[in-house]
Amino acid sequence: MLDPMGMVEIFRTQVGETPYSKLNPLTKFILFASFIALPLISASLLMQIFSLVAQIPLIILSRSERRVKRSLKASLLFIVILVVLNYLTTHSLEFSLAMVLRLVSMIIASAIFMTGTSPAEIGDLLTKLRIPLQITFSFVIALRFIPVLADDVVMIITSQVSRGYELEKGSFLEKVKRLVPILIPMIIIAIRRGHQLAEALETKAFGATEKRSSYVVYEYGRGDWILLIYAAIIIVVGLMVGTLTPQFQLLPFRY
Amino acid sequence: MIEVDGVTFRYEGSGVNALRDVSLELERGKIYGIVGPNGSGKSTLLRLLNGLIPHFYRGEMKGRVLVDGVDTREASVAQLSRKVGLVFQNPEHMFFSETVYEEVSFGPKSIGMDPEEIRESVKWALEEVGLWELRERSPWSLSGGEMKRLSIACILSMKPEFLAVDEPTIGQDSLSKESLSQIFKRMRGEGKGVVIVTHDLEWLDELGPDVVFVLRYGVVISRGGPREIFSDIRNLATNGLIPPYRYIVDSLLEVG
Ligand SMILES: Nc1ncnc2c1ncn2[C@@H]1O[C@H](COP(=O)(O)OP(=O)(O)OP(=O)(O)O)[C@@H](O)[C@H]1O
Ligand SMILES: [Mg+2]
Repeated sequence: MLDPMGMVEIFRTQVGETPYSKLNPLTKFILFASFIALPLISASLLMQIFSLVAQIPLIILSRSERRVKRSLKASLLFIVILVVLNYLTTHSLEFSLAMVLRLVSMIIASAIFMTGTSPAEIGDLLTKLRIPLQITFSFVIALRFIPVLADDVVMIITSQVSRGYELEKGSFLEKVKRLVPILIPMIIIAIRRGHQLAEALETKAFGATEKRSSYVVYEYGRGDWILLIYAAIIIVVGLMVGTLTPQFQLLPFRY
Repeated sequence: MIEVDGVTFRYEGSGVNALRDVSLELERGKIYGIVGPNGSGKSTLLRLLNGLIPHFYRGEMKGRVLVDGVDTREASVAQLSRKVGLVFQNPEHMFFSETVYEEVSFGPKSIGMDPEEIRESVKWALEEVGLWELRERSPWSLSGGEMKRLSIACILSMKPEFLAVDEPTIGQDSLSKESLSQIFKRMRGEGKGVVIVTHDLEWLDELGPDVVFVLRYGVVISRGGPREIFSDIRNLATNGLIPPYRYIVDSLLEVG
């Protein structure tokens, strides 16, 4: 029921090229930005369903169907809890569902972008957009670490179950407590990785010059144009969908 | 006995089979060596033995694995861990306790040993790997080689019937290597089955395994006694393995 390995599946390193990963990084970034913006246009349930459905072509192009399915299945309990908590504070089932779907659709958009775009591509892209190196670099490293840490989670869980540890045992609260032998190695490893990285960067004289040289040139193919047009259509349709349905207030107060 | 019966496995999202039609039998009272180049499927094979595949790694699996006649699909990894102890390549992923002592008692507690037995087996395991003196230290304060030995103690303390160890000699000095050999030999003497994955054929030769399997691209390309496998220098070299020194000398003498 509580399947942390499944939950992180969507962020795990993907092997091999996909039609999506071969796109121009700028295209991928624009698609990513569009799909993050789309669910924010309005809070209606219809809008959120539209955002999810509109992502299906990207899920297929990035060959993520199985990963998305597994992660959703693994996160089901978590999603239900979120909906219930939301319902308890807002007293609107439709609104709660919409908010959780919004979250899910943004997570899917981020996962497709992160696993299908190499950190180097993202770095080059941000540099081209004249974002300062310090920020670009931190961002890239953060992204690079997500799949690495997701892989660590898998190794940690399999290490602990090999020592006879049962994640699934007990009531819900006990299950949460049972995550301790997973979370502690996780945190320590993350901190250690950070230190190692800092050392590696220093030995490579990172930050010695303001301007780093770059020699990669990205091209635009037909796929890029098709998907950019798709992004534009999605946003326009999204704006229309946004005006169609009545807006919910963020917290519908009652007097 | 562990029987791996015609297993083919492909990790989800991967285009190639990590194991291809692998069949082998592992008995008690014997030491098995598994060698092969990087990515040849050695760790994958170990993951089969205690049910991590298919319980925790998704993918496509054909064939079956029987541990004392029980299909690993029918038992949980926690249950299988009483019989098959698996020591991972990277020890860091398992440590979460404040002291070495507590870390080693985690496994025995999980499988429900009684307190008296836990105390005994933790002390025994720590002494076996030469870490008893460091029992109050934090696992994270140990050196790489000590961590590896600690990870072995964590599994030893659970008293499994079969012990499978991924790369035991990495980061070990020659003294520690020798003491590891002694541990594995003692286990064999006590009628336990020992499975060792290693790139260190020199050490494996000294350990004196009963059977050696050579893996390549997920296929067991040769199997046999150490003498037979190690003297086939050409086969080892083409698989990126350095044969034990004495076999190289032998073959040079033969040619000469
Ligand atoms: N979790 C995983 N997901 C997808 N593919 C994997 C996974 N683990 C291993 N593989 C792939 O399966 C194949 C066999 O890997 P395995 O780790 O068993 O090799 P190995 O013989 O242990 O190598 P090494 O000597 O480097 O430890 C490799 O091609 C590897 O890329
Ligand atoms: Mg390995």
